[in-house]
Amino acid sequence: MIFHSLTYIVFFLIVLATYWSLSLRWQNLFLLVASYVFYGWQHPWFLLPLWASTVVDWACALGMARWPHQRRLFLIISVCGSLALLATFKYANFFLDNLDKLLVQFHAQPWQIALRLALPVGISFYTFQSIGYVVDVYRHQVPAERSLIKYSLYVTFFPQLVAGPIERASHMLPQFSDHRYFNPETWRSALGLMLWGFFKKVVIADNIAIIANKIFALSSPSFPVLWAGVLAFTVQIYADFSAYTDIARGSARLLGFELMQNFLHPYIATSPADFWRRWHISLSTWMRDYLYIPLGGSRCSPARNSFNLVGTFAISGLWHGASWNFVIWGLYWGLLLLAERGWSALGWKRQLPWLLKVAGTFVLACIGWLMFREHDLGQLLRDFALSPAAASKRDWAIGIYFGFLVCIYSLPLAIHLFFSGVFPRWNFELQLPERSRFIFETTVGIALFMGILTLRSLTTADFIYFQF
Amino acid sequence: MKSRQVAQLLVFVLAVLLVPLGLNYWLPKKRPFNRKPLERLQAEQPSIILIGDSLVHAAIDPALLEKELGMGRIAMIWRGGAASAAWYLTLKNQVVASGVKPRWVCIFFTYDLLTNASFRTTATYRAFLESLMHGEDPVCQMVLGDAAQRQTPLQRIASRLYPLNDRRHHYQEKISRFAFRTESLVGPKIKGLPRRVNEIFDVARLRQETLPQTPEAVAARSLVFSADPKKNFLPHIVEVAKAGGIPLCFVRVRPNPGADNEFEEGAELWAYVAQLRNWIETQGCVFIDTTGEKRFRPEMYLRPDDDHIGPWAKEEATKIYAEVLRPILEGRAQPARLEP
Repeated sequence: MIFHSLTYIVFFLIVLATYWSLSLRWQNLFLLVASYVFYGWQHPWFLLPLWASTVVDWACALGMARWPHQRRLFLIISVCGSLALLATFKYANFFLDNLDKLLVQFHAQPWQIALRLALPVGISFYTFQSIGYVVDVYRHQVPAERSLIKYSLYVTFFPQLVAGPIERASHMLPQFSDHRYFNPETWRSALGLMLWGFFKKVVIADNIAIIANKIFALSSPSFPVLWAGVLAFTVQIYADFSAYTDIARGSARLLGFELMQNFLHPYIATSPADFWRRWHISLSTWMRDYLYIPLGGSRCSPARNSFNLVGTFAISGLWHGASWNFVIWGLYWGLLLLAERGWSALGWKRQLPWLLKVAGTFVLACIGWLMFREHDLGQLLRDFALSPAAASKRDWAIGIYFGFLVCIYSLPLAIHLFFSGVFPRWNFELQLPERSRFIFETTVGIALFMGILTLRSLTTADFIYFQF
Repeated sequence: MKSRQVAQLLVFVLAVLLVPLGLNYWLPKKRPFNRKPLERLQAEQPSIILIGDSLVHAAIDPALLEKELGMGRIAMIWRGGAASAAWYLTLKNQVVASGVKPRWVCIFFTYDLLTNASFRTTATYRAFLESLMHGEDPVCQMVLGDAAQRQTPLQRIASRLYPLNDRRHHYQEKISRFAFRTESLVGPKIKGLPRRVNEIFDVARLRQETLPQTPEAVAARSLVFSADPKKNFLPHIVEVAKAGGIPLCFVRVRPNPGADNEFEEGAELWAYVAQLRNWIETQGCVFIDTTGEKRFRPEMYLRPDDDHIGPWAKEEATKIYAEVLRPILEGRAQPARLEP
């Protein structure tokens, strides 16, 4: 089930009405059933790996609590189980395909085996969430959850199941035990958040996706057209993914839960490290806590630390998809962070004006998104080899036209960014008296809904991060 | 305090849901009718009008065909991805409405596109169809109405309350025009920029894996010929042409024959084409089948698994079409019948 569908709206209204009429004990069970309905709506068999992952990790965590001296064994079983699930569904064909290429290089007979397995949506998200829980139990950071219903709900909670945020057990599990109260203020903010999410998805992301998809379908784009496409994808991926997060957070808030923030205006980041503090925060903090720090983090030799940093980003890239371009994208960011450390050590970073730092980081992010979007490595090399000097006047005109089109559709994002990201002190909404603020928020809500009705994209697509 | 907050919540929800409901009916409903092709036809007064999709655009140079045929001016009205709904509306609202009296209107098609009513009628194609309509077209409503019938009652209510599709093309076109205007103010001045933008997305410039779903793939399903006017546009195309006194010629385009230059089609498609042909001929129209025309060789096509003629072979393809069409359009010969 996808968020931006009538099916979801009806489903959610039914869930909401039923949920609030139940007692706490039944609320969790009902939410769990609703989450399974949500996830198995189109492909019920997707539930099988989800159930397998849930039961194994829940049992392993309990095993750790019951037999503390065998903690490491349970940890290994659980983590290997989760990784095996990912490897089978997500990476097996990538591995087999590359093995075949290697065999051909050595003049051996390729195996030519391909598993005919559909990738269950959100598998990367819920396996990481499960791994995080098991490691936390292993580290004694959270107690093992005895209730299978609560643990299953932690893994399966439908607002964040398919594309995150990748929640932490310490944040979510207590919420499943607490009483929830109806708060009209919270509801209003949740509805506003959901409206903004729907707007970002169907008006901004989907309209800009048409431009990006068209340009990335060209076999030999010119320099300005290609980079207009990169700009389009840069806005699209942010609008799309942050829209999902907003709808997820809004839905969860209406049910009485608070999900973590996943984005903090990433395109005003002043450095690569700052970008990753603002982009997909739940993944970057997960990578930091469960991969980078266990590898030794920064408390080791500079060489080892560099390896840890670049390795973590390479794996983070691979997490996004079984394709070399994602690995390259991860390596690119890892190397940028290394370069930033050197740059900072020389003290150059401090001397640059804020705007230049933001612009520079934005350009670096755009270059990264080109690697992310372009799956064909040959084409990627050709893209980087394009010269602005080779572009004709017509190419520039077309590139500028597409650039403007992207800017027009991004205008609401820019306004939002300006008031809440760049100059939060200018955010007059916060300074308004309560009644005026209510009128302002209602007007914005009406404008967003009107925008959805009149500017919704002609074609609609799944959220980009569903494929991961 | 809490009751006030509840009241605010209710006002918020009702305002967000109801205000757009009212404003909905003040806004323009659909993409405006595109008069340009009609005016062009009136200015050019062509003798032959070619209607089709990107296949005909890729294969025929109208100026060269005009010279080769020597039967007067030729106009081509094409649109990538167009199919029977678009051809019906083009014939009715552009060709017949223009008042021109061409000697022939030739509609080029592949596979079962003449009777596949719903093929490419949604999303961006819907916007294009709207640009060919004045208001709602009753035939389109009748033939494509099936799609609306498939909606759940809830979807129908939502569509009725908030007719999302009615507005979108209009505003998106405005945004696009605004971007063109802004570009012309600050960027390089290029004449006919919208056309140039479309040109860069010509099928010849697209990556193989991103090509839109081909009619061949879409046709890979059970093929049953039907001339039911409630189910497809073909009877309406013929009727509109008859009413306008325009002779119709349907040209079945040869898809890429494959490396051995032998275009093969299954028994089902053969049976379908035979029925289609019989029906068209009983209506007094001409049916030309070029699928057996071996002069359209595999190397003339854009790619091994693509049905578009490559730019390098356009001239040759135009000449072949001229040779095939001339005797039939001049009334000197009957179209050849292909045997399975």
